[in-house]
Amino acid sequence: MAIDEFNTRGGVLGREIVLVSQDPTLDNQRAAQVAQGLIRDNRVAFMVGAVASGVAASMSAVCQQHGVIFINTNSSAPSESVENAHRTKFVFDANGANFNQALLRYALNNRASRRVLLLIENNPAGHSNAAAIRPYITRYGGQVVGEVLTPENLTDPLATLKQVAAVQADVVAVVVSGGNQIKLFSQINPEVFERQLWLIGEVDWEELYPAPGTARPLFGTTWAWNLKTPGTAEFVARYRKRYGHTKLDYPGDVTHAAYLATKALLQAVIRAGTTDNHAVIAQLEQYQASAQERMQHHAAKMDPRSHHVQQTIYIARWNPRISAPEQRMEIVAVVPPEEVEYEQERQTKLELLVQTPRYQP
Amino acid sequence: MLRIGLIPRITLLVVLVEIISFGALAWYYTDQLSQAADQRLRHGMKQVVRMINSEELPISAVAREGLMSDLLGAAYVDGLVIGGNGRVIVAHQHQHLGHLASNLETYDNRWSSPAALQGLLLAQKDKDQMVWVQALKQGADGNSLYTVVLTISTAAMHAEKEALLHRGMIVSIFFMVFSSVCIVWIAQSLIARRVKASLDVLYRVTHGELDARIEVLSNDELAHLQHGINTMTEKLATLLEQQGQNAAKQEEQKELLQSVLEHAPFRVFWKDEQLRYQGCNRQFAADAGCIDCGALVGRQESELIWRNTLNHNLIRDEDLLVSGMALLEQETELTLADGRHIVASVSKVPLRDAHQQVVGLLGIYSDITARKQAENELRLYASIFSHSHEAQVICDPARHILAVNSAFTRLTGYTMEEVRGKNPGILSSGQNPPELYRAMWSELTQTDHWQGEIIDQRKDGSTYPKWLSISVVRDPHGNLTHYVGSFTDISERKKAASHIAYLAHHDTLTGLQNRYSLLNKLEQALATANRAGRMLAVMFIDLDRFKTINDTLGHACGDSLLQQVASRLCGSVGNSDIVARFGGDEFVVVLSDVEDAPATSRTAIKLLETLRTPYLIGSQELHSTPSIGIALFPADGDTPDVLMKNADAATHYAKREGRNNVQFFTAALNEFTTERLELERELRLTIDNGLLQLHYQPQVCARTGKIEGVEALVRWTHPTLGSISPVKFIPIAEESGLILPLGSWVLDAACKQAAIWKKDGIEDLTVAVNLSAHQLRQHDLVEQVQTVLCRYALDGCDLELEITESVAMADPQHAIEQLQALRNLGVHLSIDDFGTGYSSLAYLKILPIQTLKLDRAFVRDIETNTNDAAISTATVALAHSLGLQVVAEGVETEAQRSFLTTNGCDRLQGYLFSRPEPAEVLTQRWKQARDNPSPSPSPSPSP
Repeated sequence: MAIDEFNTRGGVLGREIVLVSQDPTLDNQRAAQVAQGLIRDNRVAFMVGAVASGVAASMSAVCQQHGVIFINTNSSAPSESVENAHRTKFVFDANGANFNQALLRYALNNRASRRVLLLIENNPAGHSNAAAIRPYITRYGGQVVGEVLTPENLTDPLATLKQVAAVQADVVAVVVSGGNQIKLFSQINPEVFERQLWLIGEVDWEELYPAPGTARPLFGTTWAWNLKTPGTAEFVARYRKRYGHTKLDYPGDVTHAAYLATKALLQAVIRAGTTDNHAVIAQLEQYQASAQERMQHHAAKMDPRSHHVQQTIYIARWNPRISAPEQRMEIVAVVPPEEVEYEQERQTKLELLVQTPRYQP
Repeated sequence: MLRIGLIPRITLLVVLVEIISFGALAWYYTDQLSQAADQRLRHGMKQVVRMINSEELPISAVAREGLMSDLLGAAYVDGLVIGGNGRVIVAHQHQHLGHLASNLETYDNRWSSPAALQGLLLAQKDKDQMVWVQALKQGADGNSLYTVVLTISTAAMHAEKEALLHRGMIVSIFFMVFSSVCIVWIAQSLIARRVKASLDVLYRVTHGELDARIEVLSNDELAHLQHGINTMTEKLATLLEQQGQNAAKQEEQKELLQSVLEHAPFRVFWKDEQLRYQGCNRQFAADAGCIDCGALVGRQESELIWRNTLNHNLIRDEDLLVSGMALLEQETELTLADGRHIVASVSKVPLRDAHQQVVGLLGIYSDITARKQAENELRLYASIFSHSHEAQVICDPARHILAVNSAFTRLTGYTMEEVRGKNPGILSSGQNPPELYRAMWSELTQTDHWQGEIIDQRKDGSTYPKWLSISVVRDPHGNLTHYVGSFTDISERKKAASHIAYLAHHDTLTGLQNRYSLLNKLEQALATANRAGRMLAVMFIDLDRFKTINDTLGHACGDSLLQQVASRLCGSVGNSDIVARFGGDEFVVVLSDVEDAPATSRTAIKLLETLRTPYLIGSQELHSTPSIGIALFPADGDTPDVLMKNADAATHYAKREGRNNVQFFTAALNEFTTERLELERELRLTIDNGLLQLHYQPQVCARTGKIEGVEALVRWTHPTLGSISPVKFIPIAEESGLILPLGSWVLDAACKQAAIWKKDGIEDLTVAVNLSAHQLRQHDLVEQVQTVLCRYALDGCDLELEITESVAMADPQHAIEQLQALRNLGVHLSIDDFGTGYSSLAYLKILPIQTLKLDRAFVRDIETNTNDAAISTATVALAHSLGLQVVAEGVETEAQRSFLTTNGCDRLQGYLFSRPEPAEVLTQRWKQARDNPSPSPSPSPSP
């Protein structure tokens, strides 16, 4: 949609924008080969990707070698803007640190007692994320009262839920993968979530949730199509006109992020007046967007240190009983970007511009 | 009684069977189809649930109607997934999402029953639906995680089943009718019609139509029956026909037997027990001298022409009758009625009656006279073949060996057994060109004969040349029956020819090319050089004074020297160059590719250096030098003859230039050579025609002034060139060999003149004749001298022979021998030009000479040059001490005469006394002096 908008107006710098699509797969090594191929064989100008964090890290490393600008629209791993950040990479999605801060702050502020139970999937990723959450629990006055481990292949969710029920907790911070979440939540009576706040971080692709009748706890997102923000209704109408017949009949947060990121990139090129990567990078580092432009509650801007867009975070929950589709997701809180800043991004070390190869497609 | 035909009965049976069969079949398949459809649906739903349970299929798929319809193969009505909390978490109808399943209208208590864990099929016939409920087992306590409820519509399946039943019935009825009609029609075609046709044919056969046959159109049992009838009919017809034929055949055979007897290539007869003839064929009757067979019947052997063998035959015939044993192919000689003597092969067998009793004998014989002769000839040929010294091999037309003789085995090493049936190619060495074989077979095909030389291989692998002759043998019709090959080993002959060829082209002593080969090769080299535009050099090499070496050290030594010279020459030039021995001590080297004259000169000088390095012959070191003359192509000539001639001329020039050097042919040399050759040619003519002249110069006694002798000096006055000096033509004569005839002529002419003078009364006059080195070397010199003296009735003392000092000292030993023999004839001998050479006093002492002639060089300045005077004085003293006289030459002044006379010189010769004059002039002068005596210096001989 963003590319069409520019091409309809005569392209960018008089040149038509051509979209080349390739599946990078979920294999990091294969993704690097795809990036090499796009640069070597297709001579792409830029790469815009809604891909997994590992794949994004792999492809952006290749782009940095060639000086090709890589726009990450959907990877929520905090590492994307810290240790895996590059001068040529710009991250337009909020990351896990932003969401967890927002969720814990909301949950702990809305409870008289602040006992937190950690429900952790017993694998490295689960333990890593649990470790990341603990400082925020402390920061917002919480106290960890217990930990329940779930196996990676969860075959008996009721047994896990019995362990959770055995602990007196006000908040349950869930660090469990998506498939196991469905197994767990489909066994829980929705009333449980009324009296005990369960947190599950960010939910991408809510529109594609495989078991939509499942009761779900609190989660974070950067945008929802039923927001009452200026421009949202018009954007949703345009989207549905074009894609309403598809499986993804409503736009989600990922669609929103990709649309805005692509526009931001093409506007940066126009402002630079050239496709030279150094000039475009300079423009993207100065990226700023008003709340209206972002269709969010607060303005957003690019952090030039980490190349990570700082934007509004929404606390949401799923509404099990709805009479219309727009009632499905319920926004319960809005958090401005400055309140969920990820401190580690202050130490991000990008390659110097002079170290970045010139690339002018 | 009602008679039902075959076809109606078949029809009834077929219809009955089909109704029963198709009815049962239709019922069976309809039931199976129905069960299969149910089974398929049940299986499909189980499969979907299994995939959800194993997470191969996401639970969200339950909400997708299209996907589920495809997976189940039936119309998907509804589907739910119920979570463990009893709520609908996935639903085809999204309004059910999140609701408690128990609140749904379609909810059935059996969904949550334990039976659901095993899978539960709930048919809702009123709605034409089928519901599959399956709880997915989870956890240790057996609680289910999800319950999947799938509802499909069975209406379509039922409708399809009914439609299938209706269609099946219609098709079955149609098929029954159709198949019945077909079967009846086929039965009619296959059986009834063919039975009638068969009966028709049988009817015709029974009425005598034995050639009638049933037409058989298929291969079934009925057809086999029809075949049987046909075969039987055929055999019957054959049987009847054979009966008729047998009678005719018997008659024919009887006639045939008679004909056989009459035309058989042998004689047949038969006798009874008394050995009387009972019958025979016409040939036998003719042999026996009977006019026909009947005339022989009843007669015995004793009455026939071959009575001389009667007893012998009788005994045999009687033996045969007694023993009952056959006598086969017995050879015997017979004299026939026409007087011919033949060799016959006779066989006799006993004739027996029905009781096996011998009642006579049957005999035959053939004239094998020609065969016997052929066998004898064959034996003879076989003997020739076996004992031939030439290897012989006989092959069949396919070139397989049939026979070989012992010479073949001896020559090739192969025995008969080893080569029988094989191709003669086993002898091939592989060294003969394919063209040879092509030519051989071509000639054999055209002329039936070929001969030539090829190289073959023995059994031991060694190769040898052979002379092979192959002939084709044909029968009288011209068909090829055999190949006969004979060959001999020509290795020795080839070796001899090769050796002869070698001898023809090489010098046997040195192994170098000989003169003939040289000229051939030089011609080739010239052609090559001409084509390539290259220069070529011909070097003529002559060994200096080789003759002396040969004469003094012997021929063996000379030969060894020549061999070493040849070896050195070969080692000094390139492979492409030619080295040849031209003859004697003359060698020729042809440099086939030279850059220019200087380069050639360098090569020649190198050769010179090489050849003059001392030679070690035996234990003796020998020194020899060459003279080398060079002619260049194309500058000095373009043919072998011209180049050789010019190189030779250059060699002579080198000789004249003191030997041991190299000379190129030049224009001046050419001119000189031409002139020299011209002179040589003229001189030869002059000698041959006796046109030379002799002048005589007197020698006077120093003391008395009396002429004691004359020296004969040859003079040549050419008709056009005038007087030619001896200084000019004597060397030519010596080099060309003309010196020998010249010397002979001078000796003869001088002696002749001496005889004239003697006859004229001029006494005590010795005629001196110069002997050349060549003459002195002549073995028959003494005989020549003796002959001439006899011819002119002269005494030895009337003749004086002069040899130069150098000639005498060149080979003193030989000179002594020759001079001694001459001395024995009484001939005076003197050494000419004494003092100019190097005389060995030891030899001088033993030379049988009487006189030394002091050279004019010492006389000329004898008055003014003290050295000359001293030498002259010493020579006189030396001569006298050896008992020799001294003659001084070139005395022209009175002072010279005075000095010489004073110093004891015995005789004087020179212009002071007389120039050399023709004999007539001297004779005239002497006669005048005799008639008018006057004082010296006009000496005269004693009258």
